[in-house]
Amino acid sequence: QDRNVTGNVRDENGQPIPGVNVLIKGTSTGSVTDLDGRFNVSGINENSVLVFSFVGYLSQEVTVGTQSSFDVSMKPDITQLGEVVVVGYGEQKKSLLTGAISSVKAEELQTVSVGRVDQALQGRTAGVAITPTSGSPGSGTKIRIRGTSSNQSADPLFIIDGVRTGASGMDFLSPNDIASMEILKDAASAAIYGAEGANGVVIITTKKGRANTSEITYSGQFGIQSVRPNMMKLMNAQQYQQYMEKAGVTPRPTAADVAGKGTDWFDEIFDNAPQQSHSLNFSGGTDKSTYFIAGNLFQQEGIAGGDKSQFNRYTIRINTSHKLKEWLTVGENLSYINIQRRGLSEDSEYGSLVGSALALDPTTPVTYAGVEPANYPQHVKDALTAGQPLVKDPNGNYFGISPYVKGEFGNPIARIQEAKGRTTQNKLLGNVYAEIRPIKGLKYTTRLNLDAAFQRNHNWNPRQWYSSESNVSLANGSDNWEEWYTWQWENFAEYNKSFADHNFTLLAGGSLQKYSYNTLSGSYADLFREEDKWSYARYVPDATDRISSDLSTQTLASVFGRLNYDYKGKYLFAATIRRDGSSKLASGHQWGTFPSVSAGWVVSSEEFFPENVGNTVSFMKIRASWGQNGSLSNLNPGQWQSAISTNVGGVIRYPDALGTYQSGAAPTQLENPYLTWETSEQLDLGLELRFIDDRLGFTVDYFNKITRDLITPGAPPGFAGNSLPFFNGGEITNKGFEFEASYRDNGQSALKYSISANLTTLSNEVTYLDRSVKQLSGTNVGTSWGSATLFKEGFPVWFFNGYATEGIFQNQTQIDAYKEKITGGYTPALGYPIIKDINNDGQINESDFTIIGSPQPDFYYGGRITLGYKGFDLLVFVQGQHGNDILMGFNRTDRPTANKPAFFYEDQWNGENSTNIWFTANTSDSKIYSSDYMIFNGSYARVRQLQLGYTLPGSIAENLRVRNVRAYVSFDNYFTFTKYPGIDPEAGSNNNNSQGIDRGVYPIPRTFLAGLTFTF
Amino acid sequence: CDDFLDQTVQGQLLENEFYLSDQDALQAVNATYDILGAEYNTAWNSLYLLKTLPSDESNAGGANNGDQPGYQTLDDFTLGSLNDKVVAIWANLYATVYRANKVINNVKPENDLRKRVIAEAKVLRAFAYFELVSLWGEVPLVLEEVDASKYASTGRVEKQAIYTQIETDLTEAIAILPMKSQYSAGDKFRWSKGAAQALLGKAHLYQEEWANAVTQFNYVISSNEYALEDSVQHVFAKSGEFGIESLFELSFVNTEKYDWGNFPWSAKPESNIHIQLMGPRSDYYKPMNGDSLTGGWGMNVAKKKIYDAFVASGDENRRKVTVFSVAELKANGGDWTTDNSWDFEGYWQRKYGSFSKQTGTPTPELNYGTNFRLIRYADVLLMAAEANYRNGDEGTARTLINTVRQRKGTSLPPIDNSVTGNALFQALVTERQLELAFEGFRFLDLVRWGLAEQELGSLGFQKGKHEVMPIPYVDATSYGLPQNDGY
Repeated sequence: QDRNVTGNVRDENGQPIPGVNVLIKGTSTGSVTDLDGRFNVSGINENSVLVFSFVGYLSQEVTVGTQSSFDVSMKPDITQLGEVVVVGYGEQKKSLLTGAISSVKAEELQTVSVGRVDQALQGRTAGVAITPTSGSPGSGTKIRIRGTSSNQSADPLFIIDGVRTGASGMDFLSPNDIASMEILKDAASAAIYGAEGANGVVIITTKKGRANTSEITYSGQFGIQSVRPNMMKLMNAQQYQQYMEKAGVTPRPTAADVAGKGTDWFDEIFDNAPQQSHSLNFSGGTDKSTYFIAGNLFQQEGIAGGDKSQFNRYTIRINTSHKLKEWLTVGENLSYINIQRRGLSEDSEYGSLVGSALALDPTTPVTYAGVEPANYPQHVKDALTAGQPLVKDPNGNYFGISPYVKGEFGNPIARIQEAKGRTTQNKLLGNVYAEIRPIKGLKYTTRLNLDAAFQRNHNWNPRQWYSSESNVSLANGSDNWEEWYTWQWENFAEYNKSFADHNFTLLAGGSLQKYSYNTLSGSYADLFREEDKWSYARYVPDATDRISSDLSTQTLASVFGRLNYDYKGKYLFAATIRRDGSSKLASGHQWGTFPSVSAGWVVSSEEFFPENVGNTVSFMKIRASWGQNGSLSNLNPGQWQSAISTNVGGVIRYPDALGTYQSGAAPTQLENPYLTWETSEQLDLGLELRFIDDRLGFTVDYFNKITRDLITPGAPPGFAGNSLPFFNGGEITNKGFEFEASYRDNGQSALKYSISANLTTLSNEVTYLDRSVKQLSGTNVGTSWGSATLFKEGFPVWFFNGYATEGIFQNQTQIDAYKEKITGGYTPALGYPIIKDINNDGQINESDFTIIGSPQPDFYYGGRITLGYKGFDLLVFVQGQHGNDILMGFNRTDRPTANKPAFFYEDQWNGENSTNIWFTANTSDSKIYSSDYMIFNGSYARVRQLQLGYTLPGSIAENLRVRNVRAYVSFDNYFTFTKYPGIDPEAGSNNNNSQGIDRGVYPIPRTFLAGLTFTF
Repeated sequence: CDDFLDQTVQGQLLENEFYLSDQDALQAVNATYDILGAEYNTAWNSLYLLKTLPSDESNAGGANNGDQPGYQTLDDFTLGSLNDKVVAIWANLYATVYRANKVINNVKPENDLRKRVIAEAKVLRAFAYFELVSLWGEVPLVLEEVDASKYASTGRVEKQAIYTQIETDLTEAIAILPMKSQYSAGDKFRWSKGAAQALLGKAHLYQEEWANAVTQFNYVISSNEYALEDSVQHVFAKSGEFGIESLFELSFVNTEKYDWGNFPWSAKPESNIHIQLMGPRSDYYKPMNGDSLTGGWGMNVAKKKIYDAFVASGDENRRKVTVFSVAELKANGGDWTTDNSWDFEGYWQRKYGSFSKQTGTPTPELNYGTNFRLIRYADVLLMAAEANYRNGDEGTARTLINTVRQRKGTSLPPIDNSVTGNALFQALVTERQLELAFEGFRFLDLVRWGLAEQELGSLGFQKGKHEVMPIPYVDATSYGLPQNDGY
């Protein structure tokens, strides 16, 4: 007959474990241990076997027999064989995986100081390269999983609790909410995401409550950010004057005009800046319902611009799950996010904030404090006489204006003061779901996902004047309102079946997704008063108003299926297939199919696996996978289509003889109905080894990823008469090896330690380009270096393209010999670089451009050491990359009097045989400034975290009624090793064809922080 | 499910739903004028400078040799097939052809308006082909949309075939187009019968078909639709826009209120930004007392040679409104504070001058409304003179030249009847050089007269190469267009 059994579950130290699943084997009935580790299961008979399972511990089976109560001691699962990883639409035991998936767990993310999840991924696992687009608060990253596989965006797909989100904006998720991140790197793992998985998939699972627990956890940190002390120095006033005089450019100061070192504009714009984060979680549940409620605050100001360059984020998350019936579970994961952001212009050589600090001459003061109006420099008097609105500081002093460096540049301190823009985003992200288990082994899930963001930007510009090209003569404002809205309905069922030692899992499902983008924006001018409260369109005359709005929608329909099979956990096999249809493509070309297969062999489970090897080699698995994925992210709706528009490269209108616009309309582009997604095909071979009781682990993967049908800007002949924005015309191959290794102590001594490291080698090449394209021009640098990046068959993606040099002209004989061969295009003088005439036509012009560098690294790596002794712990986390180049792109030859880095002065050629390294003073020769002299070794290693923590002993904590009390201090990004003489070796950019170009990058701050976490 | 995937793309109309109504036809041809305007003024690819910089009138100028390298190499004859100006202007000219083709092939000539629109499109197409054939020589003849599979087999065709098409288009259009006076005031920017005849005459002149050229120019002259302004200065003043001397010009406005924040650098501005580019470099420049020529970015600066040519001809009135010197600047209260400005020989042009009167607010640099005058009556008279001279009628030729020389504001002595033969031709050469300085005619004139090597050789011009521009890199290497000699 049926009866009850009760008992306690404890860990290896005798501490009770709440939340352990207790199931009667072969049924779905059972219970969960409570806060004190107690369980009570009814419906037991003599033959019942109870199964105890809990994440991180080995499952145990106990035959009940006649006992009515017993204690169970759980053993930690140090082999991690039972570790479960999240895969697309499900979970899988890590030991049974046949694909290449890396996991990052919550513990690693808990004490990071970065505000963004994608930044936190940097260096964590092999195969994932993260490049920040900037060091300003809240800035994004470029995420490249196994190399740059597109000439457009190659960001992976992000899935948060099943909700697809764009990779572009991972600024909304608090790292504190994350339980785990899985990175699906090989095609077979990602193939379940079909047309969207070609650049890899990052699956993020947020924290859930545990049954029969109730916990309150606080974690907080406060940090001070500062700029790297050995960052690039600019020429001081003396150096500047001498250099410009030697370069012979005007207008420049005379030696008599210069006293002292002058203004160090970098010192002026950079300052220490605070950041803080606080997170409070409530989690727990009953054996029927669980909850996780979290509130997070993150506030960061910028090291340039202070609160004018800030990122503040406030999030609330509520995750719950309710087992309503034995066969029905419903739940939701929902978060609300509020982001307030302010930013300053950067990443541009055309007068951005950092660009202006770089360019402005050191002889100009920040302000003319203490100078009598009668003694103002003449150009300031002239500007005032002309009635120009010069900017004053809060003390009423005019900001300095350079008489030498004009153009788009302007006093950066004044610009910071006058910056008024702010962006507010409200976002709702989450889903509701139901899981139905109608029969044993079958689970059907239906869920509705929502990702809705509402963003408002308000900006206004007071009147200000720095030069005739850098001014605001009429106070103006603008408002932008944007809405991104995605809903998705997914239905899928999973069926498990085992017979004999054959285990099958079958998954089948479908999904519908609709994305819409709405925007409404307006601009206006002639504010009544130059104050925030007058900066809205309602208060200005209608005559200056401009308005714009747009709507864009796109849909995706999908069906997918997956089969997993294993025999005795030894022979593993998986296959997936997905079919996707996208509204972005022409009718008849909308649907595509993406298959994958993979297999694995756990060699160490074989009986023939020798005992003596088995004692050392504790685990060995060989796996292989192949699959295809698509990437749609670089396509927009209607891009295949030739259509009539009133806006083709600007509004079509033509002023008639009275100056009245006559409206026009014309075809937008050449038609290409064959336009389709990029397809990435990837082969992955992996070997997993573990030694000495699993203390030493080693994984190696070889990957070969070929992206075909690359969506490439069309290059039709000029005589075709119109543009072809995109066609499928290229192929990129990324291949390399990934290594991951880890080693930890034997658990016996008081000193705990673990070491882990990863390294990825990468070979990136454009392996085919349609012959009609020959080469694609990327970005320009300044006004004189066209096509500074190029996309061309046989070369890395967007390599640097310019003049190659072979040393410096040391004497006139060399110049004369050179001039015999080179008749035009370059007029060298002593100390100028010797530019190679690549095509040997006697002319130096853009036809001599050649590859002079590549932003693609040869390898990148991460390493982590943790040490623990008694309550103390130390963490060192290093990340770096090697073999990439950086193009110093902030020097403009059309602004020849702009200041330059100090090494231009210090290292300059100064007479015969003085140096072959750097050229003589010259700021205007476009050949020099489009040459490999602007290319630098971009390798770096950065200590991302150096953290010392102390955990309060359990006995003391218990008296205080708190647990897990840990305090720490951390030096984040504090130490950088690089040879790059520019601002920051992580010279990122938002533009895909501008990677590795330093146009005046906002540097990555280093942060000192102190943090505290505890639970009660 | 396919319904689910059928999503409307906003702001787009299928091609077969357009070109149907009168309104469609007008909008389609307006868009063709618009792209022709873009050819002269997308930032920074101007057909005007492409034709002007290789001449002996001006230097590229600007900050240094790194300022707009594409213009610098055009000026220095060191350009290659990757020259960004050459590439963009070639593509823009064919964009004009493309839009004109769409009008010609799709609009049904069912009423007078649509017939006129088609005729306008034919002149626009002929105009673009005339630029192409005169600057590149043999070029692809595209009269309808080229299928992608035919790109590589399109090839270049004989110049004669291009000219034949130009003549056919113009002849058909002339039969339909109204006289300039028959257009409403606003519509006077459109191609008129007279302007099309002038272009046809020019096409004959370039082919050395003298009698046919005379015929067409005579139609223009005898139409009494056109006359000379009092002075060259008046032609290029705001008041001269679409005035009595104007046959065809490209229209720009100073009313857009562009500022540094909203200027469409990457698109087609409605103002003429090249005027700002061509103003005396403002770093060093202070205007003369009472002169409204304000500072700019210092490109297209006059060479000493053109200044000297005016002086040598005693042509002071016309010189003053065309080119001026540092000495003159300083003598009249202005200033120039550098002695080594790049490419600067001491002179500036002021025909397309950065006059503050011609620009608008709030940022004068960005709002010049100056039109590019592409065909004006003085040019027609001088082309007529040349055609008559070549056709053996020296008397008429001399009269026509003197008409230009003796206009009120120029008031030069007439060319004496004793000047005949080659001397008369030289007088014509000089007259065109001075009257039409900085208007983009000189380089092509020198080439067709066979004088290019003589006049431009010292500047880097190589005979047998620089008479024509290089075929753009992509068209040549990817689609098999034979490259011009020497490139």
